Amino acid sequence: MSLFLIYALAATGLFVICLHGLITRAHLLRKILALNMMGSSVFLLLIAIAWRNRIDGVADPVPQAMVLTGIVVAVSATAFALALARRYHAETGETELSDEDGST
Amino acid sequence: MGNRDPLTDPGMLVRILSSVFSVALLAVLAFAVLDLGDEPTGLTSNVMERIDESGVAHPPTAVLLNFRAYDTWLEVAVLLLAAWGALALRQATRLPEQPAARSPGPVLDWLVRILAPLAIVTGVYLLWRGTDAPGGAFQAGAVIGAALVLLRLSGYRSVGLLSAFWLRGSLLAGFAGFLVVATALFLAGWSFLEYPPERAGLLIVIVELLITWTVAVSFVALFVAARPDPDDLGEESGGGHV
Repeated sequence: MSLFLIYALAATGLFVICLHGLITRAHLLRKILALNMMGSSVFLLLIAIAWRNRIDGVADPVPQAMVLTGIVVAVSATAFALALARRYHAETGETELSDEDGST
Repeated sequence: MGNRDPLTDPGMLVRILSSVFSVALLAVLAFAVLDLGDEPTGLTSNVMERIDESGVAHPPTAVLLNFRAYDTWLEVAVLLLAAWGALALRQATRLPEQPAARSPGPVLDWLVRILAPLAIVTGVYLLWRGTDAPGGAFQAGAVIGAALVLLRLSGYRSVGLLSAFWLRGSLLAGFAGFLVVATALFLAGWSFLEYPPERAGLLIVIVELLITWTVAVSFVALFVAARPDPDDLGEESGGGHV
C-alpha cells in the first residue's frame, strides 16, 4: 500500500467518524467540532492528492490552493457557528437543539 | 439514557442507523479513494508551464491569485458574510471597544509588547514571501489577526478603535479590491479576473495586501462576536463606548 493511500484512507475514516458524531451527538459544540473535523479530513485528502500529483518535487498547487482557501472558510464558518450557538444558548439556556422539530 | 431497547428508545435507533450508514459510506469512500490509484493525474504540469505568466514564482500563490482567482474571490466573500453575520447577531456595527482592563500582570504585559509587533512584522514578511515561497495573504492575515486578538485580550486598544465605517471598509476591502481590479481589467479588454502578464505581479500584491487586512480584521470580528462577555452584548449601533 502506498503512502498516498494510507493518508487518503485515513482521511475517509476520519470523515466517516465525524459524520457519525455529527448525527449522534446532541451537544451543539460537539456538532460544530464534528463539522470542523470533517472539513479537516477533506483537507488531509486534498494534501495527499497534491503530494501524489507531484512532478520533480513540486506538489500539485491546485489542491494546495483549495486547502488554503478551505481553511479560511472553515475557520470563519466555525466561528460563525459558535457565535450562533452562543446566541442560542443566551436565548434559551439550552446547549442542544430541541426535539420538537425532529432534530437531534 | 436508561432505556436501551432500540424499538422504544429513539436515541438508540438513531445511533444504530447512523452506524450502519457510516460503515456503508466508509466502504463507498474507501472504494473511491482506492480507485484513484497512485498515478499522478493533476494539473501540476499545466501550472508549471504557464507560471511565468502569472506574475509570481510560487505555484500555490499563482493558482490562488491568478489561475483560480474566482475561488479566492468568492472565498473572501464567505469570510465577509461570516464576519457580518456574527456582528449582526449582536446588533453591532462596530467592535465593542475593550474596556480598559488593567494589566493581568507584568509578564503578560511585557510579552505582548514584544510579541504583537513581532507578529505583525512576521505577517508582513509572510505576505511578501508569498510571491516565491510558502506564505501569502491568508497566512499573513491569520498571523496579524492573532496579534490583534492578543492585543485585545491583554487590554490594549487596537481594532476596537475602528469606526463603524472603517470596520465595514476593512471587512469589505479584500472582496471590493478584487472586484475593482477585475472590473478595471475587464473594461480594458481582458476577460474577467484575468491579469495582463506584465502587470500581474503588482496587481497580485495589491489584492493580497487588501485580503490580508480583511482576513485579520474578520478574524478579530469573529472572535469578538463569539465572546461570552455579557457587557459586550446589546452594544448599540454607533456607540463605541463600554
